[in-house]
Amino acid sequence: MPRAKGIVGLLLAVLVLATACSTRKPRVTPDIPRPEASADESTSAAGSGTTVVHAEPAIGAAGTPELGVSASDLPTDLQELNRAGYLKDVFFDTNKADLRDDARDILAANTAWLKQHPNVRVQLEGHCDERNTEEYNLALGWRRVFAVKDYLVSLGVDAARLGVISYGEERPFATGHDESAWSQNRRVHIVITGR
Amino acid sequence: MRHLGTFSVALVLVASTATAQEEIYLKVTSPGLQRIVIGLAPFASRLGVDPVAASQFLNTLRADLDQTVVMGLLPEENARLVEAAPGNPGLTRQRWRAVGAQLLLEGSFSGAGNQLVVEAQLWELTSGEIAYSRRFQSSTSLAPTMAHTLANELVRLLTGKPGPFLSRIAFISDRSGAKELWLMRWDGSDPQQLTTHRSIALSPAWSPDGQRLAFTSFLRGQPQLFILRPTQGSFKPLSTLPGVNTSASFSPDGSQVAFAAGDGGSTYIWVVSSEGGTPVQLTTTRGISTQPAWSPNGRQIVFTSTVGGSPQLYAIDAEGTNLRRLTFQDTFADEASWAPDGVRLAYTTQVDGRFQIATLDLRTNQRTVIDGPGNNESPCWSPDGTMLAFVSTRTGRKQIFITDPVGRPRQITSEGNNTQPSWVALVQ
Amino acid sequence: MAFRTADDFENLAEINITPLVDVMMVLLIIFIVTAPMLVQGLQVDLPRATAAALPQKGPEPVVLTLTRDRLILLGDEPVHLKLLSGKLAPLLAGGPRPVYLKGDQQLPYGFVIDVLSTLNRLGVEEIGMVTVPPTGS
Repeated sequence: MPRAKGIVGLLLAVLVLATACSTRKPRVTPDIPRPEASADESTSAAGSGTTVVHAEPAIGAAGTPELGVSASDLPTDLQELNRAGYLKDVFFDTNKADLRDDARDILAANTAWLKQHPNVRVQLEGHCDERNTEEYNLALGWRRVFAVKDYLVSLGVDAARLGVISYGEERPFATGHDESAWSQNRRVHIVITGR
Repeated sequence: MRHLGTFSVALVLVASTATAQEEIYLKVTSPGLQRIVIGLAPFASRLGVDPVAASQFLNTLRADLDQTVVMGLLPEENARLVEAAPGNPGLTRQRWRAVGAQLLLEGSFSGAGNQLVVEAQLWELTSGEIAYSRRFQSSTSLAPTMAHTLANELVRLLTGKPGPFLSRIAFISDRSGAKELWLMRWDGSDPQQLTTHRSIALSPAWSPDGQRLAFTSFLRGQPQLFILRPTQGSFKPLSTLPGVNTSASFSPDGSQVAFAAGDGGSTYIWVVSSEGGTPVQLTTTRGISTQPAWSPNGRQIVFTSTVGGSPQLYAIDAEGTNLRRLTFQDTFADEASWAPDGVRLAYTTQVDGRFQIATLDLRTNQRTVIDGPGNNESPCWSPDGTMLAFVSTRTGRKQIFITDPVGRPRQITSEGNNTQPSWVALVQ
Repeated sequence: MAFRTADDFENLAEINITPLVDVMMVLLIIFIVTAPMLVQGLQVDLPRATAAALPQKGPEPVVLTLTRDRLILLGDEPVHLKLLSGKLAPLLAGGPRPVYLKGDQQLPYGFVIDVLSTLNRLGVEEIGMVTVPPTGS
């Protein structure tokens, strides 16, 4: 795997150098998928004495844009769109699937944004901390997802726009084994899947 | 009374070197641990026998014989004291008995090329009679399997039930980078990766005949239930209900599978034919119902439900009637596993904030917590009901351990995180 | 075999005993009248000697049989010399008991000493050497 990454990095570097020679101006090749340009590759390529040029971050990717941007203003790339953080995740108490007050506030804001962008479809991902058994957590994540889905629907979001999945404890956001990690992992993560 | 002579002598006292050896021996035979001590005589080997296969056979056999509850291998230091008496096998056997062996396994290797022939006799040393005699023949590559087969038969001779030596444990491991389905021998040897989906695999469950393995996979996005035939390498979906399709449990005749799946925000117990078809909803209580475990007589299903608030074990008849609660002393009870006797359950409980394995005797309602370091969960009985496999964090990451009825735990995995053991007598 | 005089014997005994005596053992030679002995199918030819009859009172003796093949049997059970004290200790824990040796007459002297040494270490104070009456006596 690291070997494969190294080769990809090297190819990227060679490609970029070749481009630079012909045009004298480093250019980003849009064909290269973003996840390929990771720190691993730059170090392995740098070790072989080659310069690697990374894709620049998309403009507007960092920071949360104000509400009211039209659909056409949204980034076309779904990954970038999700990284922009238009929709906020909601968090849960230990072993609970009930919505807390802060979760209701977040979901109200999410509802407003979803209403302004009626073409956006989302997936609600249920997550749990690592305590309890794997199967129980799958079921608990499922309950959390539906707590969020039912609330969004009650606020007027079309249920057809809301996909659901429970990951239980299988995809933790924080990998620690204490409350600070656990509290991060008890959440429903909202992912934009279509625009 | 008249003595021929009375005189006194002094004997030079020498430092004893035998003490440590005696202690080990006495421990093995001390009351409470009535293991039958078996000696393994050196096997004669004919010319032409593959020495690698022969030593594989002996190493496997030695390891097996020392890992049962009913038998204990004679300690090596005792075995070393035995001097063979050339031309006098009877005397040699008595010498084995003199160092503590109650049974003696004698044997020989023959065969050439890629064939290995093992002839084995088990001697009952008190009576001096042959208790078992058998000839095995196979290809040299199957030497370990031959040894496991012999060890199984020796256990069956002593207990009436075959030993665990050909049994295997399916489990989930992330050692390859993603949670995949794996298979290993009961002692952790010979691990094999069964899936390479690079997704999330969960909840393996064997059909009792060892032909099929049900499991959950996120392979297609949503978690779905699949059935795999490990010897054929083929698998097909069994349930694609919405939400969690997890924690499968085969009926004892293998015809049906109980599992947990969602509907709305709740998770219910469902039953589906193991050949596929439309699942039937067995429970209707809202909330979380999960982890069904089909009883060995097929009449009831134990599962976890939050209907009373915290997760507890409940039983329901396989027809979906007669719902009743089983656990009352736990703040948390999940992952029930039926012992083959149909009387005891092992499950995961919570004590002082840590997960622990407990057993529940359904005749007496006697609950026993097996207290261990770290978090301990996912218990699974061995097919003969003499051992438990479980997952523990006592050595750091999640690892699979097995423990015998005396309570001695043994770690059988070490690479990555290893979880959710499912134990079967024989993979077919 | 060389004939050893009584004087030689006493001299040897004195040299070895004097500085080392801390445990006194009483060795008895006793005899039993039986048919040729068979234990576990193993024949034991006891030495023939004129001796006292088996004592009938006192604590029950522990019987060790030593076969010609240097197998030690405690009762019916063979025990290796190195495991003997571990096996005997519990039997002797309740108080002093005599130990009777039924040793085959062809046993090497050194082996008998090994057994006696073990008994000595266990604090056995009374040892009976079992014989059968001489033929024709």
